[in-house]
This record gives sequence, C-alpha cells and structure tokens, in this order.
Amino acid sequence: MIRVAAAGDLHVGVDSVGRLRPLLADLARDADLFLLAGDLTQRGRPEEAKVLAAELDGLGVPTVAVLGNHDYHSGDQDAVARVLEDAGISVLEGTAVVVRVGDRRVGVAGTKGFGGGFAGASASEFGEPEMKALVGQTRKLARGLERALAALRADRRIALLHYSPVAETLAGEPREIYPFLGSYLLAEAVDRSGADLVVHGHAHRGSPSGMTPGGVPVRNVAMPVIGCAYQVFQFDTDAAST
Amino acid sequence: MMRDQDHPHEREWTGGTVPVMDDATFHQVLAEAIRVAEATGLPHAFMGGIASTALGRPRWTHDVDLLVRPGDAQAMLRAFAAAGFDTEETDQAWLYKATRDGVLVDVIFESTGGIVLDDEMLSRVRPARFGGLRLSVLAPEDLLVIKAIVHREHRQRHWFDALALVETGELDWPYLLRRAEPNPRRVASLLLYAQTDGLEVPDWVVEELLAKAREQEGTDDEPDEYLIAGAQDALVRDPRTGELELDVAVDGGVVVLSGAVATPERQAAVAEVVAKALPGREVRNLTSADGPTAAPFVETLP
Repeated sequence: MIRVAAAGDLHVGVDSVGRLRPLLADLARDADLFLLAGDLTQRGRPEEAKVLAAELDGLGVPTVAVLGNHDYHSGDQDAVARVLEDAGISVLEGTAVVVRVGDRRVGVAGTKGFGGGFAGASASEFGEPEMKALVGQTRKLARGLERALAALRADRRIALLHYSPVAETLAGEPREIYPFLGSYLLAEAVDRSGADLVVHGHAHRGSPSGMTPGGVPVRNVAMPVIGCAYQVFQFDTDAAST
Repeated sequence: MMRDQDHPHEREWTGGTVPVMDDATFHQVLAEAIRVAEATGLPHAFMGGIASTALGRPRWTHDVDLLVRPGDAQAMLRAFAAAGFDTEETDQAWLYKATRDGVLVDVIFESTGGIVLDDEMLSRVRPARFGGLRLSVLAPEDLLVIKAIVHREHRQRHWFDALALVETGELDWPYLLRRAEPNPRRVASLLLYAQTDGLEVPDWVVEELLAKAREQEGTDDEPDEYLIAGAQDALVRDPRTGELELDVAVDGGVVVLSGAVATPERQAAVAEVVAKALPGREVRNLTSADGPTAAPFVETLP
C-alpha cells in the first residue's frame, strides 16, 4: 500500500505563520508522500516561501511540489523554488523524482502547466505573437511533463500539476475562464506517457474528480475544493502498474 | 453640473416691493430678532449679508437671514409672533418670514442644494459682531458653500461675498471639503475663480473637490460590469490581497465579495481594498477565512 497526500492552493503569506502546521499534525500517520499542487504562496515572495518551509519543517514525510501562477507573480519564482528546495522540498518543472515507500517506488513528474483551453474551445498558435507565446508556452511545459513521465521507472506514476488537464474538474468555475485554468495539451502529454493519477489545483470553485480522454484519473486538490488540509490516495500495490 | 435645479430657494421673494426703512430701525429690529432667537434656546445661526459683513467684507444689507433646523422652524416663527412680529409660513419647503417695522427676517430651514443646519455646522457656529451687536453666525466655510451654490446672474453679490471669505485667508480647507458635499463642482469653480483673482487657494483643495464631484457623478450610473472588473483588478494588484479567486458581484449597487481566503488578515484586507478602489460604494464582505476543517478524505486507487 502506498499512501499519497496531496493539496494545492495553500496561498501562504507572511500572515500565515502558525496556520498550516496544526492541520498537518497527522500527516506522517496518514501518508508516505506529500504532494503540493502549486499556489504555495500568495504573491510569489521568497519570504512567503520561508513561512511555508517553516510550517512544513520536520513533518517527516517526503514532500514534492510544483509552483503555481501565484508563485510567479513577483517574478521571483526561482528564489521561491530555492527556498523550498533548501528546506528539502522537491520542486518540479519538467522534471521527476522517485520516492521509495517500503519496497515500492512512487514516481512523480511535475509541471506548473499553463492555460489555453480544451479541445473544441481552445486557443491556437495563430495570429499575434502574444497568442502564439501563450499556447507555445503550454505546449513546451506539456512536452517537459511528457518526457519526465516517460522516463520514470516506478510502481506508480503520478503527474503533479497546478493547471488542469481536463475541463471536468473545472465544473463550477465560470466557463468563460476555462482557457485560463488549464489546457488539453497537459492531458495529451499524460495520456502519451501514461500515469496512474493526475493531481492539480488552481480551480478553487472547480470539482474534485475527472478523467483524461485516455482514462487516467484526474483529481483537483485545491484546498477550497477538498475542504480539508490534504486528500489521501491509497494505491493497492499488489496489482501491477500500467 | 447643477443639482436641485428646481429647489425653491432659487425662487426670488415676490412678496412685494422691498420695504424702505432707515438704518436705525433696521438696527433696532435686528437687535430684537437676536434677542428673540436667543431666548428660544433653539440652535440657530445668522447668515446672509449680516454674516458676510461680520466674517468677510462689509456690505450694505437690510436683510436678516436666520438659519434654523427644519424641526425648529415653526417654534422659531411662533417666538417671533409672540414678540410682535407679523409672521407667515411662506414656503413649507424652506422658508418662513417674520416682519416688523418694515424689516424682514427670513427664517430659513433649508438652503439651496438641500443644505440644513446639522450638528457639524452647529459645532462651528461662532460669535460675531455686527454694528455693535453680538450674534451667532455660520462658520465661513459653511457660508461660502451656501453662497457659491445660491449664486445666480441676478444674485451676483453671493459670489463676491464668498470670494471675500476666501480673501480672509482663514478657511479650514479640510472642513470646507467635507461641507462642499452638496455641490463640490460649484465650490471648485468658485475657488478656481478665486485663484485667478490672485487669492490663496491650494491646488489640492480644487483637485479634491473635482475628484469628489466625479465620484458623486460616477457612482450613480457606472455599469455593474465595470464595478466588478474594477474590484477584481484592485484585489489582484494590491499587495495586501493578491486575490484572483474571489467572487465579485453587484447587488442593488452594493459590491458583494464571496469565496475563501487563507487568513483573517486577508479577509479584512479584501473589503478595504475594494472600498478604496470604488469610493462611495458599499462593500459587503461575505468571504470566509475558516480554512479547511474536515478530516482528510481517503480514496483508494488501483
């Protein structure tokens, strides 16, 4: 049995000191691995990342994160990532880590991802350079995810995102903003490389569960959606990985 | 832009020809009017030419303008009747009159622009002297606002009375800004004119009056879409909030915020930020900062 806890959209600010830690008191009892699905900070300031690092310090559970759009807001995303890495948190972007749980290996490949919309209602790399840049950026990040997932050798493989790969987990958000909340390109990357689970955040008013067109379960773990500090996924590792 | 175009104060007194009387009679009746007004114990202040003469520039006047609270007007008029004045309830909207020996006392309870004697105005009423008599007059700032608003082609003296008050150099600008509420654009125009006449008026006073005017004129008809967009933009930009995910709606002109924020500090800040971005708008803060309370949900996957 592998137990993976996941949460997104913590939005930690300098006013968050002492607010997160009490919620994580039982994490080591509940999970073998902790995934953070972006928007770790409110404004992407390194001092906010320090508050988060302090809240997570000494929990005894390997923690893997991707950044979210809020973590990019101040243009200091690299410093934010560095603060977290220094605190022992793996921050993924087109990269992957493998965590050993007993005699099993759990692989996590991650990207922040980006927007563009979903098949039938998506932006294209056409027209103005800004529009090409938007879709081009999503395509680039999706490719990084695809490669990182494909390279993983593990009993279970998880794709960790901030933006959503499917529209299903956005249900509840205004349809008009779906293109700002995710892209089908991310689902396509997951389906090409294969995975056992996709977790993402970003859509506070969205829905908990969906599935990629290729059949991979997708879970929106944004804190306002799950209504708890983290959701736990238990993998029955007696069966073989896909 | 002029409000209250049809306010009764803008109608001229048409009760007949202006009575002719000598200065001694005027002085005597004014002294009696002061005595009657003070004996009532009701809050009151003299305005018009008497206050202008006492506070700004001496000018000839044979009018007595007495401002009282709307609820006190009848009692004040009865006191004048009891003291031997002829009285009439001239206009229930704003004006009663009391006359004696050809001298007219206007008992005014609402001036143009909906201006009434309120508590703040009363707290600034001050003692003054007029022709050797002691009496209470409005503060110069209140008098200026009233005169700027009443000004018309056929009543130009009000404009110049108001300018004379600026010339004293003793105006309390922050108080004037507050009291200019009934028509900030008109007061701004007076102060701009004063500047061109070489009088000392700080630019920031004029600018704030114009901002206040735009605020008043804008709040009535700004489409809800722009209010919502303005609120969302402020919530995203302000470093205290940085909130992208809140719901903003407009309900009967009230801006309603809902959704979850991470901390109580941010919950307080969202309402402050939106109120600052949309001045004059009521903001209802329905956001929550409770954080997650449920026990972790466990899902088993293959």
